[in-house]
Amino acid sequence: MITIQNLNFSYSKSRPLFREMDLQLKQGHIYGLLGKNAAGKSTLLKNIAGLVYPHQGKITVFGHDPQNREPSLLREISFIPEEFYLPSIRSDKFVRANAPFYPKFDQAYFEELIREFEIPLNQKLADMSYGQKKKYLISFGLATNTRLIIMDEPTNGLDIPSKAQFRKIMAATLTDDRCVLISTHQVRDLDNLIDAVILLDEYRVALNASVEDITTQFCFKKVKELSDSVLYAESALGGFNTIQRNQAAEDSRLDLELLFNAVTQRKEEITDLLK
Amino acid sequence: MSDLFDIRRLMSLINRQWISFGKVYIMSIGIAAGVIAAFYGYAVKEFFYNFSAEPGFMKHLLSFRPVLFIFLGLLFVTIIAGTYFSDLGQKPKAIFEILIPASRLEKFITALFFSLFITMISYVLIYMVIDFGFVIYLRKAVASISLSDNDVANAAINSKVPFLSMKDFPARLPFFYFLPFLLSAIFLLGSIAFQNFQYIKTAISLIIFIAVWTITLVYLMNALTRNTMSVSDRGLWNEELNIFRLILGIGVFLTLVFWIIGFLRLKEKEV
Repeated sequence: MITIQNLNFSYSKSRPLFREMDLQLKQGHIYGLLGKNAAGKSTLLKNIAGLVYPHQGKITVFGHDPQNREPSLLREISFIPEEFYLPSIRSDKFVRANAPFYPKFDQAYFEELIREFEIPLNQKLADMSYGQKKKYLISFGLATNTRLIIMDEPTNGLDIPSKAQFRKIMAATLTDDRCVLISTHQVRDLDNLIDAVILLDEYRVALNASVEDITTQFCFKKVKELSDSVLYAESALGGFNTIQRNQAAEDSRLDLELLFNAVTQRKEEITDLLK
Repeated sequence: MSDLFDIRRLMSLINRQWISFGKVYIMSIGIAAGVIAAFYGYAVKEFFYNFSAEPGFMKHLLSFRPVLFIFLGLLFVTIIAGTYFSDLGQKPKAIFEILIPASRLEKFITALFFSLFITMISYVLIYMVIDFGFVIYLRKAVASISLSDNDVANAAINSKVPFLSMKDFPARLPFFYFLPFLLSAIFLLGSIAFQNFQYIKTAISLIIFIAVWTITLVYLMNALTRNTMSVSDRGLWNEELNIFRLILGIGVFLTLVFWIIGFLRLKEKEV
């Protein structure tokens, strides 16, 4: 559904962001997009949404070129940016103005999300706190029922209960024809939510694998002593957090932070095993 | 539903844009109305405090009207056009504006609808209403003053005609009707092309362009015609009307060119 081929992009000639990047995203998945600062996570999201244009290469979203910004594609994309703006109007007016552009907008679902997030609607949107605005925007974005949901740092500014609500809502929102792409630095917020990981490093996609594939190949374990089977380890209280080859087909929980560090430091060893 | 144009989508877009643009627009028209009323108010004050029975006084009392109507109107039109797409220069707003599911053509038509159609109609309307109100008031005030000279009194009453009913507009004025359209097109393009301070940057660019163009033209014409004299008095450009026609033609052409460039730049706009 989303295909990126040979993508080259930079904001300045001296500092390329993507070099011949290839990526494929499929429906029915929630992807977590990870990367260091300035790795290009937000820029990749913008390229997919057609907010910036590739210098070279081709991006296809549901068969459309996002550069053309066709309404038939735009009404299938819900983009929740990190920095956003909400006008100084009340919610009902905002919905009346924007919902008609999204044919699958579900008013009842929107109201349900508003209740779930406990957003007070007795004030103008611009007067809400940052967290409330973000939750409002997430609610509206999800209620549009678009097939592609793009979220850039969605949990920034959310309090602890709201983060839990967010995870619960996002898990329930996934359908077979939907694709959710979440970029974040806060990998703990994606725990038990995403089912695929995309990791950007050195101008390319360093890793694009499902959580199932990762946990089938690797075992995330805390050990007291390091052994030869350890691929990557980090010191932790009372031992080491490790990534090991999962030769005994053990069940383990994906540690995104550990995986991220492992891939950025020992890329070939980790990614070769997932090919 | 066509990806190029859909009337329902256009109507939804007009409705949506009114919510974000309406406040700027209402504030601008309010300020314009205030400025107009201030000029007329000053005239009323002059009438009551410095009244003179001389016919010249009445003639000049509202003589500011053509200048005020034209310059304030052009300022109003350019401010509205120069701020219409300014949201595209602010990242958080631009993302929403660009991703709203409407075609580029619909977005551009909506821009013209607000920055030109609504703006010009409402400006003319509000000017006429204020003008009419003050003219009626002045006519009544003049009628209530017992002037010893009946001719002066009649002249005073007759000189207070509504602005659009005035007869002494320059005959060549219609050749410049393109001007608000051209300026609106230039400032609309400026609001797309510049990232911030769109109005000021467009105005400065326009002033620099006009200055360079004028100086170059004067220099060139001086250089080309120095120590020469015209040997024909039947040339096409000796006819004054043709020169005005040419100005009108160039004005219309440039307006279309700026609209087309604006339309194309709208597609190129990135966040």
